[in-house]
Amino acid sequence: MTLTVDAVYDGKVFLPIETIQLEPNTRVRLTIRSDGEFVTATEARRAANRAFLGDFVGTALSSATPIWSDGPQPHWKVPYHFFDGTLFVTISVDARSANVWLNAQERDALITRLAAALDARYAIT
Amino acid sequence: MPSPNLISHVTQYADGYCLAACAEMALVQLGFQVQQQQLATLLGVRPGLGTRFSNIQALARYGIDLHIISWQGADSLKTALEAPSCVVITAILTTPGLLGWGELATQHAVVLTEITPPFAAYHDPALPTGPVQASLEEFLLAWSEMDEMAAILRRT
Repeated sequence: MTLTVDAVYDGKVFLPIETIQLEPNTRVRLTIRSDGEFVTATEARRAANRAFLGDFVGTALSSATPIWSDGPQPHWKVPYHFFDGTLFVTISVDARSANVWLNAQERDALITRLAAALDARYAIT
Repeated sequence: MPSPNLISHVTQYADGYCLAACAEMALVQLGFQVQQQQLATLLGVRPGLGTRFSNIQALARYGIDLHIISWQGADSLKTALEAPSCVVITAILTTPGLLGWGELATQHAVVLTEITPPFAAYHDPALPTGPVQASLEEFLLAWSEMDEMAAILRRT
């Protein structure tokens, strides 16, 4: 699970400014980014991988170096290629929040489309 | 029980079968002989698509003790590797620093056998032989890209 939340540092601990649905003492990893600072290409790719593929392993898809896209909503475009180099999809990641522009419904549809494409490529007789 | 360093290498049947191949290596080490295709069915593997790492939990049907961990740090792996009759399967994102992957950045599973700084040794089922070695730093980076997920399997 990956969450992006705003927080305030009070000198000792980080206080989230919104409610987080986690059990007390759950261990998590924090990535600290100041307000206004853009996420790095590595962070964008990580966010896209988690939102799109989650904990899938063995998927014959490779994420490439994210491409910067400027404009009113700066974002990173993370390309995903099949192992033969054919582009499957590009996923956008907000450069300020690291939010991935992919909702649950779109993600499910994408996985279904990916499964169909890979079934065609890897049909084992 | 043989040392984890003596795990017999198994090659994955096809793209998508990395977790099934890791499961086969782990089960052999724990005393079970199960065909990779059978494990692939159990784990919900689809050729090319793979499966969810958390599906490894299905191996509990063999009566083994199985825990999936996340963000527990490298010490948790070292501790598991030092324990008797214990096998560690990790999820990684492949990097150019890991043998055989070049520029492909893909979500994968390997059987970890040793952490001896500055190196880590593991069986990568996509490679024809194993174990292979990588710098510990590179391996931990690849592992952290998958939320430091690992499955720790023990014979009960």
